[in-house]
Amino acid sequence: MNLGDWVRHFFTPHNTNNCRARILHPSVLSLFVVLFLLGQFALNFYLLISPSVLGFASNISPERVIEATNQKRAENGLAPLTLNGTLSGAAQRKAGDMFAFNYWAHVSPSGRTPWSFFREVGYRYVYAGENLAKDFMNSEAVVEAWMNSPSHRDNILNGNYKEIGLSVVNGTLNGVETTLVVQMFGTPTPSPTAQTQTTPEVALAPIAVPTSIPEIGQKEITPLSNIVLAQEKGEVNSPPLLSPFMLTKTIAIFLLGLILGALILDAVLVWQRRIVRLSGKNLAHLIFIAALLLSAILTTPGAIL
Amino acid sequence: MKDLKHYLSLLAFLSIGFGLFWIFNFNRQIQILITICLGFVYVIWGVVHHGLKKDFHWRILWEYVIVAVAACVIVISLLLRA
Repeated sequence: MNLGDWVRHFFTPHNTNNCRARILHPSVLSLFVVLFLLGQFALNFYLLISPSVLGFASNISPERVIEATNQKRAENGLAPLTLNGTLSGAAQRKAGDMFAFNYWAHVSPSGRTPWSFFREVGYRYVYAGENLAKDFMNSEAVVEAWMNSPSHRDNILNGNYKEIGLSVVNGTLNGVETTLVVQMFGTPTPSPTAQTQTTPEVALAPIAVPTSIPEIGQKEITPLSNIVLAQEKGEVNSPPLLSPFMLTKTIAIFLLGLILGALILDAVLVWQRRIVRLSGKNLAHLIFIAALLLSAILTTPGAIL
Repeated sequence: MKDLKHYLSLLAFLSIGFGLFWIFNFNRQIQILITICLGFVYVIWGVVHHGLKKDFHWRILWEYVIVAVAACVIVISLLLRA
């Protein structure tokens, strides 16, 4: 079979392929699925043996996230939140804990809640909340994503909160260069001294954070120094060679586009040649694949929790 | 056009699903759930459509299942990477 015959056999309905483009046969589609999944497993394996080679480069500024958060509050008639360095310290510890123990959740695998980080830095609160985000392109996208989620929106637009802490930290999560954004909200207890006290419990608590995170005892963390630290950590000095997300997206769009193209060609030729055959409806397949292709195209990196 | 109502119903189901997918952008778990639901709805549509046309065959069911699984696996893998 020469190349022309092979292309005809693979992409057009012909007597060699039972009058249906070979690429649309269930056996070939199944092969695509198996190969795609094997590719994903190979990518995961590569991420395990060569962490940080693949990743995601972002440009998120903590000040801009706070500014955008306060802007959303102002648009809803709420008072702006005051940046609190201690809260930012708690947010930084949370981000460090997620990297150190390789998880992406409000509660760590060992059962640590967000509130334990508040306690660790000595922030005593009446009300507290936490928003998480990872792998967004910029600060505005993070806040917009939170605003589009009812629970995160409730946190941003909660009139009970008075203060905010924020941390943007780069690290390796599940073998991938990741940018985590931790936003913590709080309303301190009325006592003015409550926030600067380090309780014995805090001092004895196990610290599960990377070495770059300041120790609990360093209470001189100011809002400004926290921001600078977060920005420095947020910078991507050597952008990763390739993003696993973009690689997967490219392959996904290629495969779905290939199937879509083959379906269109098959439909046109079947209609022109008036071929009668026992098969599913090309138009239905077209609509379905087109909807999922569009979903894949519109999927952008970033996740909130 | 023959079967216009059938295709309009499929288009409506997929449009609703796509709309929800867009609304729940960045909420990956819900998006994965929506994608799986779309796959199921699509297979069910195929069964009902061919049943009403009285040309249902297990090979046709298999074709709808494979198309749904292939597309859903690809999109879900992408969502898990995002």
